[in-house]
Amino acid sequence: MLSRKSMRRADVVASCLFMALGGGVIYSAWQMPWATQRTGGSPQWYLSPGLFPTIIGVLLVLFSARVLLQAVREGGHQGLMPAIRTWISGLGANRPVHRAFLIALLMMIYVFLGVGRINFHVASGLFLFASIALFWWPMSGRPLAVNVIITALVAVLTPLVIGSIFTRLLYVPMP
Amino acid sequence: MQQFFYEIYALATPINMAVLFGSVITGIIFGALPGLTATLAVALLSTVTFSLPVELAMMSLIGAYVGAIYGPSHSSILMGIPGSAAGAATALDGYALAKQGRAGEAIATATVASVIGTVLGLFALIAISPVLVALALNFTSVEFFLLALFGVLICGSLTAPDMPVKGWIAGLFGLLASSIGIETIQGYQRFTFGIPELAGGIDIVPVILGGFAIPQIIRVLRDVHLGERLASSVGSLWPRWGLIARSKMCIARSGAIGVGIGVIPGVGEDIAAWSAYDAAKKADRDPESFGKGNVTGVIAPEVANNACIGGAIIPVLTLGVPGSPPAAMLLGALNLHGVRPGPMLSFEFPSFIPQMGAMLFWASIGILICGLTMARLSVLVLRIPVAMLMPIIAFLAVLGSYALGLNIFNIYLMLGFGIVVYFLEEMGYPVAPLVIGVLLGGMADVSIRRALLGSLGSIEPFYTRPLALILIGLIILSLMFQSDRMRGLMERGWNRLIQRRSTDTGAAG
Repeated sequence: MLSRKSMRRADVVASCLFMALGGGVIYSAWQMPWATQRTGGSPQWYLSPGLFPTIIGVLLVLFSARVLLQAVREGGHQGLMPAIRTWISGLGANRPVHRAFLIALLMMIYVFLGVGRINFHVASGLFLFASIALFWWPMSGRPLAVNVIITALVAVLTPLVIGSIFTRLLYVPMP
Repeated sequence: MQQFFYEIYALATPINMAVLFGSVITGIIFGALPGLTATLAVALLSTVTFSLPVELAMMSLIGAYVGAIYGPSHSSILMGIPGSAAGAATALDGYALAKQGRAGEAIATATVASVIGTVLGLFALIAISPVLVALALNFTSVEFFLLALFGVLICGSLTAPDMPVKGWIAGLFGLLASSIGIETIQGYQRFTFGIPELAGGIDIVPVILGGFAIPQIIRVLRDVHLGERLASSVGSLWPRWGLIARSKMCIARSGAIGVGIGVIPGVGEDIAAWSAYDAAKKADRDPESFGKGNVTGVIAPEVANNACIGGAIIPVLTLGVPGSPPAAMLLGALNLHGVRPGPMLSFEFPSFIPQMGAMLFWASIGILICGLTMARLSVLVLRIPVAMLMPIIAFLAVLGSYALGLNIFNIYLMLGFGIVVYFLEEMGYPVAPLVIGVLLGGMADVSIRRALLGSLGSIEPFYTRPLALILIGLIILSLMFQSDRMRGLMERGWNRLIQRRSTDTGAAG
């Protein structure tokens, strides 16, 4: 989790976005039919599909405003732009962010470009090999050749074994 | 109760026992390994057991659930690093005991305490469920809407690490996600943006896998881990029977705390463990010894977190509201198998609740046997590098998301959801109320419209029905958690209660 000061800065931005989202939800809900007449007589607004989203949208705006208020009270709005510029300029040396971005990117490549487009076992094997190589090799303390062999075994056997359990025992086809 | 004892006998078939023990072992491994959680274990196993008969599937999920709540005690004691939040309190005294060469004693005591906690939880399940069912049969749509709202708000209040209002916002996101798709009363498409895959709504399994697996994978691989400080040997696996016998009051108190917290929607075993640890420390004659190897500091949280399991299942079966994140996954699995939890469960499946109690009984036997047997193996299991495990978990999450509907869109949903939840959690928005919101949103939406239909648009039933007024009172209480004064008041009251009980009993435990 972020530090308190950073969190309050993030709260200023996030709560504004959430208030906008709440407003968008309310607007979309108002576009939904409200004048339902199932049994004749007066319109039954309470059966409208927009009722529940309207309640959610209103609460979202109110609660996000509360977060914004707290963030402003604690000075989250002060120095917001310089803090963002500092964070961006420090990205090059921010190793935890690199690692988080890398694993997210690997998963996105695996899911959006691999699954359903190439053989699932191949896609999974490549993902496992790349992920383990990037995150485990630097701290394994073993020679490279040993790392490659262990990683290759895991990358090949895991999709094969688990895939077989799903296909042969549970009759679930692979993507 | 008779039905419960019959179910214990009826469930004792070779296949059931094989599945149960296999699942318990899987659960213990998931619980012991840092980065893996009970919710993940239950979620992944629910995809594997989808095509099995309901009884066998539930046996597996209950076994994994109980094992995964007990499992963190191994890593807490051997490494000082809990495998999941449920074992965090155990690490304080458990690891201190391991450093004194008493790791085996600590693991054995934790195992016995977990068994006792599970048994207390199952008896609470059998005793309290009929009462709640009788109450819930008087529920109308008004009460179900207020119950869903209360579930989201109290979960948000208690799980938000920063401000309670952030927990409520997370719950609102879950409620909003649940409204995506064709709504049930008028068949109108909401928030589908022309994407046909969204017309059927959001499946719960990709949401849970995305919400619990993906952020954890990113976080674990992002943070640099210190070298493992693994205890070198386990030693004698014999519990302190005398101390366990003398800790009757502590065990009873911890069990009550575990069940009580388990019944509260969305609040999990970790809070039960910490609350019980805190209560045991305050009630002890020598509170300064806690954190330095006091065995009571292992007994209390382990009884509580396992008793919480039975407590969490009570609202699942009687109200259709999950008591904890793993119970939320259990609720999802029940729905997948066509079992509709709620007040009608006792009529549609009369033996279901005693059967669940019997499964918990067998699972407690499972952790007794497997937990002690695996104690020495845990040292090996805990050496598996998490940097190798996390990509495998990602692979399992992809496969699990696909397995249920054979729909690749669910995989996209799982990953997208997971990345959004990661950013939300970094900003202090908890995932548990979000998942509760997705689970309960459908019920809330339909209930409020039905309630208003019955009263022709009037909100009078909301303030004239006694049960509705009670629920509104509980909602106001959870909203008041925002106030520091209110939280301070409750903490002072809790401390006074614990200290008065320890004065009355005159002895720790």
